[in-house]
Amino acid sequence: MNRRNIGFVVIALTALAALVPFVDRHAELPIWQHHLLHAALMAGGGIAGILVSARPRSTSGGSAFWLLPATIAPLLAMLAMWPSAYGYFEMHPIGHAIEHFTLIALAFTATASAECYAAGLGWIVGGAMIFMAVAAARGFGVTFGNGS
Amino acid sequence: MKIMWTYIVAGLTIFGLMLLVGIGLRASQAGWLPIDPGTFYSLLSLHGVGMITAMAIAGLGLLWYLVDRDIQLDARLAMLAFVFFALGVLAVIVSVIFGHYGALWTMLYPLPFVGTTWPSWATGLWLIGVALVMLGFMLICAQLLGAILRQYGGLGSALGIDYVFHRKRFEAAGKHPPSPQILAATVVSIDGLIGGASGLLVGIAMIAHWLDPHVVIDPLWAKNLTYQFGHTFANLTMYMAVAGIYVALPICTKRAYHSSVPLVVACWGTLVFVIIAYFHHLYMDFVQWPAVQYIGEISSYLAAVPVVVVTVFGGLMLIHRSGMKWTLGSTFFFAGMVGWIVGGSAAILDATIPFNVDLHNTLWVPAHFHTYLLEGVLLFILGWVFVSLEQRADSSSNAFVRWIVGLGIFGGGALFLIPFYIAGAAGVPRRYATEPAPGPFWAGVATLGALLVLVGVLAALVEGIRLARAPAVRAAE
Repeated sequence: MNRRNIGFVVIALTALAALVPFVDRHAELPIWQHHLLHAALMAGGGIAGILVSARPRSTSGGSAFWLLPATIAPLLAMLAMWPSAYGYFEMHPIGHAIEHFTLIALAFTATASAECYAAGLGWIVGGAMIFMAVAAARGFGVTFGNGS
Repeated sequence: MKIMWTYIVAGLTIFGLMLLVGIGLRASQAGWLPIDPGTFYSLLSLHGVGMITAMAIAGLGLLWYLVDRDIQLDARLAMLAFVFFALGVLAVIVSVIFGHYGALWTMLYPLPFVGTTWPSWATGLWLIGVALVMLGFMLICAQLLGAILRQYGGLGSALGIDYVFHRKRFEAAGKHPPSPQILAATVVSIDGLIGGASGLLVGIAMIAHWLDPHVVIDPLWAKNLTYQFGHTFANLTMYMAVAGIYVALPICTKRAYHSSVPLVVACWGTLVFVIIAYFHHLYMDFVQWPAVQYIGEISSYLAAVPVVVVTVFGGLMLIHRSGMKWTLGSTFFFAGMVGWIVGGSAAILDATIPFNVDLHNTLWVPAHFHTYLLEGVLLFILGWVFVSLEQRADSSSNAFVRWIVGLGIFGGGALFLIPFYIAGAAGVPRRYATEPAPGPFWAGVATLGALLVLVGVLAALVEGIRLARAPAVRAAE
């Protein structure tokens, strides 16, 4: 199986995982756990983006304007992880699943766009994006005894 | 060339405006200029973020051009990033001038939101402005890194890993290590993307809180991310400008600056440790995990010392007995290396925990970063500007102009900086509109020094315009 096909398998599995809200309808997770689960979904989307768009390192890259979605998509993904919306999503599984698909699509867009500009750049952009998603669990919408 | 000059001229213009603001702030602390505390903190916010952004814009213009000489870059993307920078700067200026935002560049949560004397929209516009600057910065970093990855076929080659660990085989294959300026660009772009990610995350969290106060933020988390971004961004301005040394000094001395194993390894140190050195800003946050305090101290040394020693030693070896002509360009580079060492030494002294106990948040802190920026980063950028102009016109400045500029920028600079160090060592706190003694006295001395710097900068500006208007004898490097 080539890298591209592996990428399609990864995106399919990640999309399946995005449907969890329909299985566990009334789970009340703390916000930090929500962030970490979203980070995992984004990791799936990001890896799939790299695998699907990967090209040999020897080939020249695409337009520099691929960097625009590569830079903006992680920002939009963080906005999509708006913590005060989680309460609503826990009660509305369709909305919750749409939120998951949005995160996966943004992660895919970020890494695939970066990879289209230069082979290898997708890993760095994806790494930075996952760092943001994981780091969010420590303080975005959450406090750990340090006041509010 | 067009991109480089657009960025450098914009950066130096913002620098000039912020210099005037800074002189006003020091004169106010000396009691010579009445500025009410609210306006003082607004102007201090503008001065802090404006100066760092000015140096970053000018430094990125220089770095972009140096990479573009080796690997062709798309100028349209650089112009798009410039639009982000311009909009960000405009938003910040409006938030300060019309909104009177005054929670400083650090915007430490919850300061911009609690007990403020300015309207909520000013905080929002400030946050959006800073986020736009970060986006522009990350776009340029991504462009530089992507181009380097394309050229070298991967990060390992771009960082010279084969060159260091398999040198004989590497050289036998006829390969060359990445040039010093490419190494600098790689460090800046990778650390810039990591620092930018931190900055964007905390920026989005703050914007979310601004729009929806139900979104809580952990203050210590916000402080870590803010300083991870802020320290890295400020520190990287030096490495953007240092790239100029590797190209300009060879022009001045007619000798080549080669990559060497020590330089490559020193760059690895900078790459790894710049992003974690920021912990030295949180020594007084006792709830932090204690190990990170030590990581902050050790990283502060390892990020700076190796690359400073190797670069400056290499630079001095190039200059030694080269018969280099002491033009304004070459003098700026030489003086910039001195400023880099002095400012860097003061920084790592402050990052050493037993000293930091006394120096934390005193005027010692602005002492070191003003040295680093004014007598380091700025001089490298001015050095590059003048080397380029002197090359183009095949002409240099006369001794009178060199003395005026030198006395103003170096002499006035010393008179401006030394009072920061003395007052800091005496325990005068930073960021106070009204300082305890001996702060006001030394603020007065510093104001005189800053006015001399202004004279030197104006003389350099006039001389730069004269050289730029001279007929081009040959294409600039």
